Amino acid sequence: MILFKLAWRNIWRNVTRTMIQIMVIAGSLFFVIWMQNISCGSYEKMIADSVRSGSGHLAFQHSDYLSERRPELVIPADKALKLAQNHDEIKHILPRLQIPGLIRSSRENCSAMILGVDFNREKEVNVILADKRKVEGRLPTELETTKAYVGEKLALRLQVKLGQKIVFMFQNLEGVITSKLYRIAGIFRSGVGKIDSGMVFVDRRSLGKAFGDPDAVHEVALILKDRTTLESIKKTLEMESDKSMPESSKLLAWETTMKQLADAIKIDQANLQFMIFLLYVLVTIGTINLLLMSVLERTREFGLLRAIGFEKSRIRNLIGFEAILVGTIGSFFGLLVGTLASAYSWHYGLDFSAMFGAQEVAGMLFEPTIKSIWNWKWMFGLTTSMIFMVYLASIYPAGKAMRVNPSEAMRSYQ
Amino acid sequence: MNTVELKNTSRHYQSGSLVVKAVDQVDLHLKKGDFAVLAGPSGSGKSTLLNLIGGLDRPTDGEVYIDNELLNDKSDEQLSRERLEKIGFIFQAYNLIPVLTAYENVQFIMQIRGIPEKEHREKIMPLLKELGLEGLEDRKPPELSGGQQQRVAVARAIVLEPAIILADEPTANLDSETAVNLLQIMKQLNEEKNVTFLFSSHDPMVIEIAERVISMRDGKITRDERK
Repeated sequence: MILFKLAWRNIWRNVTRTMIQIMVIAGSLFFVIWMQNISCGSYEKMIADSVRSGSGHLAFQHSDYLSERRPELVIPADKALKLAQNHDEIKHILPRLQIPGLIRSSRENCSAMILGVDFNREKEVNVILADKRKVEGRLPTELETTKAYVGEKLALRLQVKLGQKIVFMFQNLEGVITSKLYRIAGIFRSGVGKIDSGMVFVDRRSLGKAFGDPDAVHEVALILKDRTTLESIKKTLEMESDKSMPESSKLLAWETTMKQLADAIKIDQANLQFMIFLLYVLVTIGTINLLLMSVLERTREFGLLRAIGFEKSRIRNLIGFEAILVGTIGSFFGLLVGTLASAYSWHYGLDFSAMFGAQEVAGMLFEPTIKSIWNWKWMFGLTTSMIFMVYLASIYPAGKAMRVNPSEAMRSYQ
Repeated sequence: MNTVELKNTSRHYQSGSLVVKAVDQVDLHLKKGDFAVLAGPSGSGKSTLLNLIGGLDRPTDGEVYIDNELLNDKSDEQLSRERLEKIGFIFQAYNLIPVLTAYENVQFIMQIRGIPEKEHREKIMPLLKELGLEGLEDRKPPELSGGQQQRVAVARAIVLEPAIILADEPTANLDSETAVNLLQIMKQLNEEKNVTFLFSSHDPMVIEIAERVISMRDGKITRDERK
């Protein structure tokens, strides 16, 4: 108790210095907490947006499709749909047929990826098909089996307008070149160049028919209600698919199907953690400097304390207490301001459209308004680490104070 | 029984190739209730001898006993404990912890000694009153005069009734009136409570009031006389 009282009064001897130290700690902690919450929010957003236009949280695919991308590597859609429909944890089931080929208009031709989707299912989920990305026309209905929804740049290249014809030429399941005619129902602009200049959405079953099997799909993407249930659902589905799905099919998680995105997130996380580490090192160095100044100013006092019977260990504890007190006050304010800032960005979100521009991360479409999330484990982890680092910073100054020779200190430092 | 005993004690310092004999082969005995002064010019070894007795410094040769306990072999932590339990210190100036009040400065030594809180007030308040510090107990050192600060230091030094009080030039920073007043208080404590005092000083007032004058020169005791 006496140590606590003495430490508390000691830290307020030089109010300016202590306030600077508290502000450095609070400012650093506020920054890392807010950055961490925003970053985690951005990762969640990237994953949530990307799984909608990409391969879902989980996807049934032919085991070789991911690496080889050959059109004939298909799986049966109905079996996968039946299997997935039995699970309440799955919010959306999106069967997709993806065929590369050549698109011809009356004036131009170019290569493109034609995507056979179930428009009724897909429009609720896929961010590319959202109304706000529509440039003109409309999304085809489930019954409009010869209507296509085309990327804006592709329409420009083909020099086609709404209602005009395009012919899609591709290799069917038997390896024979076949063609299918579509009329343009709508044009979209996703903001991602590769998508806008090379992607066409059409009805899956009619495309499958021309492909040689109306039930054939390249993937059945599954969107979960809650991403945290991914592992348990994956295990259950894998067990069930052993009985009902062909041996060649495989259930893949988003980290595998969208490896680029998973890697981008991992790299970003590593960068952030390195930045946090650097900031903590800087705070530690600053704290060592300030504590050292405080200790050197009190050399005579430590000599006096030692002379009247204060043990070295108590001197170490006194400096440690002072550091913990300053660290705790600074961390409290850092946590408070970090929480308030996170609450703002959690509620209102931060618009990063000016920064991201094309709204594309790792080839995936990404909404640039980011809302931070509450990563309480990290927030308290960062706070306790900050207090611990400040305490660590007291070790060297405490060592200096412990080494004070009382007789010399009382004689030399007046 | 001797409170302090020094046997052939030396403290030599190496300064380049030169050996400085701050204390050289000193034999000294102090008895309970002694009121003695180490007198001598600056550099005669008074403070070094006081530091050796107080366990703040270690002898290069010889033996130092406090209450018949040899200090030479004790660790730093053991010496701290010895100082806490057996020795009271009064220095020339800046004796007090500036962030604690007069009362807390005295209480501090009781707290680190582990004396129960309930005993503090009943021991400290009469002592402060006796030393003329009544009403000043809540003042911090910068709010006290030099003489008042020294009296608080005396209170802190004697509150645990140590075997000896070592005072290193306690009057050096005080005006004559305050110095006389402080010396009278210490003399009174010596007479009434039989507290042992050893001063180092070249102040004639201190030498005059002391019952035993131990003169030093060049690290040696040149004369030891009782009045």
